[in-house]
Amino acid sequence: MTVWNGLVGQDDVIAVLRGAIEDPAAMTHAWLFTGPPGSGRSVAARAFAAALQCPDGGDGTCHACRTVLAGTHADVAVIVPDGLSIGAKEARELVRLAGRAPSQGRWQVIVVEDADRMTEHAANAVLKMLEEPPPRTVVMLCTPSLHPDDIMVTIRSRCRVVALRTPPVDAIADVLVERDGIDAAMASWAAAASGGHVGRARHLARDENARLSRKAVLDVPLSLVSLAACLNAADDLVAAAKEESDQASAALDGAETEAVKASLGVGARGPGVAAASRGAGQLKELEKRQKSRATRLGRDSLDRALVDLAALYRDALVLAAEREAGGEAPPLAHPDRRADAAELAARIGAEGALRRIDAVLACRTALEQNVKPQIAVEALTVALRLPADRS
Amino acid sequence: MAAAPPAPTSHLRVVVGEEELLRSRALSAVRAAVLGRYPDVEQHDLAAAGLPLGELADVLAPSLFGGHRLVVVTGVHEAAGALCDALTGYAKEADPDLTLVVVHHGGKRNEALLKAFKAAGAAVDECPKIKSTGDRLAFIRNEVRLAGGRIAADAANALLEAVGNDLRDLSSAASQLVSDFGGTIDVDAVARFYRGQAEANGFAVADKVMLGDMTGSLETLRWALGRGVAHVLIADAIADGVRTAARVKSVNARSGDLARTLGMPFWKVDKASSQARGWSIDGLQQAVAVTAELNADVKGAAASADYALERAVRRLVGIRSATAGRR
Repeated sequence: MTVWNGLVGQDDVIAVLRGAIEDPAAMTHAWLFTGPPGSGRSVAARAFAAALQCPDGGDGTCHACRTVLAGTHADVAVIVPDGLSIGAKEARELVRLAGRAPSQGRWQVIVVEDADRMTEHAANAVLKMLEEPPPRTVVMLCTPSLHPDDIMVTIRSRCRVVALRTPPVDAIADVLVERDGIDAAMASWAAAASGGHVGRARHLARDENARLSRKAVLDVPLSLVSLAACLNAADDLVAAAKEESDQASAALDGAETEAVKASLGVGARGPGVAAASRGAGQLKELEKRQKSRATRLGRDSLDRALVDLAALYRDALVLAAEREAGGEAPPLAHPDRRADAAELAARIGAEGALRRIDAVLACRTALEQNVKPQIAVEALTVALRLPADRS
Repeated sequence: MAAAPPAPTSHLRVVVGEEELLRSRALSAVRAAVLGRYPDVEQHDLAAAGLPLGELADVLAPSLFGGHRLVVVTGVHEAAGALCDALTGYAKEADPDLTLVVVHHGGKRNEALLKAFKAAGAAVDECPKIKSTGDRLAFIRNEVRLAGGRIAADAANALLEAVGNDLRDLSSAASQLVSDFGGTIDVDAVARFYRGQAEANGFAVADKVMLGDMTGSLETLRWALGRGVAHVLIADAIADGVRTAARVKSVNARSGDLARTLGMPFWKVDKASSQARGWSIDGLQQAVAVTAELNADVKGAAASADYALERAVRRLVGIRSATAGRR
């Protein structure tokens, strides 16, 4: 058992990182982990952090390894934005942290998950630190890609890039069976349906509701036969996303608010309470953060649905191309919905499928631009409407 | 309209309602009447919020010098419980040499006080909020008549559109017009002094767009922007108009069933179905795409949100007329 066990199907990356630990000349102060969602960017960063702190280079059993992987190591700071963005304020805090010397470990490690959520100001603040790094500090940034929208070119050029690939389906299925004890049939189904996203595969394999909502999303394309059906489908998609975000935030918000209130002494009695409870500002700040998080949860859930939709149209495109040109088709993203994809291909053809993929991507962009989800998704389903049956 | 206030002879009066202009008119009518009967009346104006009991007791107590007194307590809806009790207690055994007026801004707070006054035989001036357009037009006509003139129906409409819903503005505009033109006021007279649309909002724009009125919708849009209505609100109103029409058009049902299945109020369904009549399904589908683009534009995707709105309005009206013939 080593710290690298959590990384699925990334042997090349593990070799590079191991090399950096063994050979001081191969080590550098700033790393940029890229890869598609679910490929394990943050897992790789954490494992690397653990291996750096571990006296044996990451045996996975010592105190250092276990505390890093559990997120409690004093010299490893993991920044996980749960809101929409990482602002300049948080970035400056991070820079301050980076200036400290390691207290017990060998390195001061800072991991920023979702570094693509850094605002321009935040990125500039971090850039200064990367340009003149403190001697014993290692910064690890995780982003989906090297596109300038995701990470500033100036930051990119100061980091060593580690590119993770989409893990192969077999590797995901193996991990599900070995580590989560899921039966083989379900594991291989979930691995194939997850589009290479390890976490999603696990979620699909474990959670009946996740399977149901995936089915509801994939049923949408063939149901869009009239304007009314389009509008209803849009309603359902938005409502499902809202429900998911409401449930998730209700579970978090209540406890958080209570904790802050308790620490402010709200509802307490005795001398000095009035002076101690001037914390309306903190509560407001908390509400703002919670709202931002709820927005993000809703968007993430809608985004998952959109990715599933785009993948189904991609399958239709693949099948349409296969029918026209013959030859061996690449594997489908939703192998269990092959019949649906084939019917879509017959009805809309390759061009129609391409146009619809475009429409889905345009809707994702629109959601990022803050368009009301209801309006954006309505426009999407209307654009996805099936042509009238000619038969 | 605001009927002539009850004969101002009662010594206990209640002025109640949400319409500020009507309240102050009722109050000054009472004041004038009391002054007419007792020229050397002693006047006290008190605000109920934060009023100490002693001060009230002071002005309500019989005067050493005799003579009539007028006590006005404003804002009794904000009065503390003890003050209410004191007023109620006074109402039960009112002083014949004192006129007490309590002013209440409507609503449920301290309603018991009003009931007690009514039970004690107080005269009540009701000043309810004027909500409907019809009532406002009637108010304008009444104002003009009081000032000694007459106004044509279309002129009243034009005045309402140009001045807005504020009663005080309407009243002063009416009396100004009468004093300038004497006698009859027609549309031209209104147009000489008042132009524009004070109540242009997103929904007004959306209504005109949905009816395919290019000139009207652009004009209303400009007025709305000029008034400072937020771009996002206008864009949302347009999107809502298109969506509702699409809903109504795509479901073939009678309006009663429609309201139930779509979960919308009847009036909205009726309005939307009359707006949807000129649209085809194809046109509405294109319109939905335009509104989504507009929503991104007003949230920063476009260099100029003003232009984005105007372009969207033009495109929508264009789509409506281009696709009208289709199914």
